Amino acid sequence: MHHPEQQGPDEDAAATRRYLDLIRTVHTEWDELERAGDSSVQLSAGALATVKESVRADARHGAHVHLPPTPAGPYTVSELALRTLVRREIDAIPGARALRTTFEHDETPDSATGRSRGLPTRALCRISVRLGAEDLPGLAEQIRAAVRRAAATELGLDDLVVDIHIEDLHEH
Amino acid sequence: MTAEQALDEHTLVLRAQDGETAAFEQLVDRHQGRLFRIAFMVLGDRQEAEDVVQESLVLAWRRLGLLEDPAAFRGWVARICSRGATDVVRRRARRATAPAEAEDLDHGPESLYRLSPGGATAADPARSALVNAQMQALARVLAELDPDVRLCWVLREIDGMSYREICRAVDATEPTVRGRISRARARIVHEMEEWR
Repeated sequence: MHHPEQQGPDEDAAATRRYLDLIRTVHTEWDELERAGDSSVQLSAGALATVKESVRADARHGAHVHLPPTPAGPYTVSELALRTLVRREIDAIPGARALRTTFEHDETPDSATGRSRGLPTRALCRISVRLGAEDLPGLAEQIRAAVRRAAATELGLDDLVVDIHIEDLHEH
Repeated sequence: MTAEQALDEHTLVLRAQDGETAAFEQLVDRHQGRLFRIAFMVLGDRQEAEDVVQESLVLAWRRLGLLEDPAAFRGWVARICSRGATDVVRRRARRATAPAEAEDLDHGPESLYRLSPGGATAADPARSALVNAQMQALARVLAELDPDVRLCWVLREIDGMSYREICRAVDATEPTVRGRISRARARIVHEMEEWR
């Protein structure tokens, strides 16, 4: 937790000490109450639950992505579902952890509204790799194959280009 | 990947940007306390502070894709929250109501004033009484400060932001920010003389 500077240019030393003591006390008391889970110094459980539910609802109602049509007609999935699928495939590879994936899409007539995106043509998967992992190109190839396989079998996306960018290392 | 795994903040931000709500929920849990602290110290009212923090966190989720540097999340979300709190202060002013009258502060974090029963200071009743009195006096001084001055002081002394981060948060130059913080400190130091 932050502590204020030790210098108060226009204050005498005793007044500065009392001021710094006060600030320290504010921090100490708040920190203790927060550590003890005291509801008076943080969001109530109800407010926290409301935030989280709003976020989940917002994610559920995100954009939809066009996929290859099925015999039954046009087919779309939520962007959330597409991203979840890619993350799941990356996280399942030992030593790999998904960070963020960006997609390139074909244009569709309703792309401009932001509620709908065209057929995904390319995925750039930014990932983190466990420290000490050997054969990084091999690992990247494993991930690429897993994402391409899932895209093809679960979404009918046979031609998705998958780029892997290792941008971070993690310990555990 | 399970929700229980302790991920570093960089990873959580990127995964949240990828749409993983569980990652964003971990960020909410990590930051809601400090955001509440900022909002409450600026607004002096628990309910309003809670509303501002809730709205700020949902807004942060919606705008998360615009955050270019995941390492900047801490300052970025505090900026959203402090702007939300400032908007409330301005709305109050437009309604021509007194900004955070001293008695409003009695509706604040009750335990902050009575102290935690298990807290280190609770064992010393004289010390507890002194701290309680100081806290309430500080709250009254803050309520009397100009809102812009109060916000800069809170971001510096309560949240520990750098001057540069505060400049970005309040859209002001560094000399302006330093001046506001200096005025707030001087006012608090002056008032403290009265408490003795």
